[in-house]
Amino acid sequence: MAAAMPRPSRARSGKAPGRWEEFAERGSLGALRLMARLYNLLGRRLSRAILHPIAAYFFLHDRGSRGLSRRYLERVWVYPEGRAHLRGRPGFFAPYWHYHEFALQIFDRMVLWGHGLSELRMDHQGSEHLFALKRERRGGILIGAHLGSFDMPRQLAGGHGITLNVVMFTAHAERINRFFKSLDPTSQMRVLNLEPGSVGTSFEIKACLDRGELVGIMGDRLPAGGGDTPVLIDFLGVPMAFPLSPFRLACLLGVPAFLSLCLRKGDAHYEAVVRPLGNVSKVSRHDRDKAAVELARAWVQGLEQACLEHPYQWFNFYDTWEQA
Amino acid sequence: MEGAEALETEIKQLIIDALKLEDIQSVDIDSEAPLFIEGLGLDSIDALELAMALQDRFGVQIQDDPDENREIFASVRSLADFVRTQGGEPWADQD
Repeated sequence: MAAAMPRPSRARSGKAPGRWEEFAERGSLGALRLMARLYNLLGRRLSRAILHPIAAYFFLHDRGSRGLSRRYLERVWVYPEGRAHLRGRPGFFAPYWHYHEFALQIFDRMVLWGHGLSELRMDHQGSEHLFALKRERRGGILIGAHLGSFDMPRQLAGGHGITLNVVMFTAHAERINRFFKSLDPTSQMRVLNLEPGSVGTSFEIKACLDRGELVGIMGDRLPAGGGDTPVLIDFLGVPMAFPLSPFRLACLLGVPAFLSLCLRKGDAHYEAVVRPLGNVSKVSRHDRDKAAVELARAWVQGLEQACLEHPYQWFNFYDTWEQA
Repeated sequence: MEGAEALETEIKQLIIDALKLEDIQSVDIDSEAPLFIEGLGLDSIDALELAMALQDRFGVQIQDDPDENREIFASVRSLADFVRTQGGEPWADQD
């Protein structure tokens, strides 16, 4: 069940990121550089081994995320499909594999930016939708999540001459971007800086879509400091606050919206999935919020399905999840 | 000044209609008060929707320059100024 919160009330995603998030988004660039050097020196198999002590370190030191991880894995365990994809009933050590998966995907991200797709296998599912848009010179909104390697689609788009504009909070992501940029200075992906509370963001997004480009937005995190209309939707049996903005925007502009994920299928093997979220046509003002919630619900359903199939690849531990 | 006031009132009504602010009347909106975020609590998508409504109604084009937009969308008055300087025809296509 979904229920739109009354506008203009704004939920906040108050809590600071946990320590493993900091590892990725803020600090430890030294560690990433060291990893890159080890990879070039020792190759994949040996340098991968360093991920175990990293996972162990965060497992031991990051109690907050450890608790969130375990609770999440327990919710996955409730579903038979989820159970089939877990290593076992989530116990005390279960979060270790969650950290390890996260470290592994950061590692692969580093490999991708340093070496391109030559050392990773990338399968596609549904990319034909994007090629069709490109042929028709139409824009589209790709709504991603903190599930799997949320960085991979950038590379993908670049490889096919599709311009992808990624909306992000650069305050969080700037450092890691700079690092990856230093590995691959030719990267042409554009970042739209989302300033919470700024009037301009939607205009910039519209301009990109009008040019027939793709716009990527994360659909599973409310911008820090409010500035979004949240909607409560059941996710793994618990209501979670999702931002409604990406879906409202699709309905307002009448552009197609897609669930877009990049999931790890095996060692150095990923699959980029693009799934249309039903038919988005320009919806009249009166029905727009309802249509946006429907779209959001379809997206969450797809996300939940992917979570059950790849439980350890869910890397969203903000308290949006804990609101209920 | 009557024309200016009439334009402001019309823009207020457009805001209310476009954004479905059902519990607000045009007299409740202060022409100089901030519209977005702190004022009526409207967000970026509301601004875009309003821009599209202004375009339909007055034939004015709003670009994606963030600084300019911040000024245009500051208040009803700044919106009215913008419509006037763009040569928007306030009563052109009322139906």
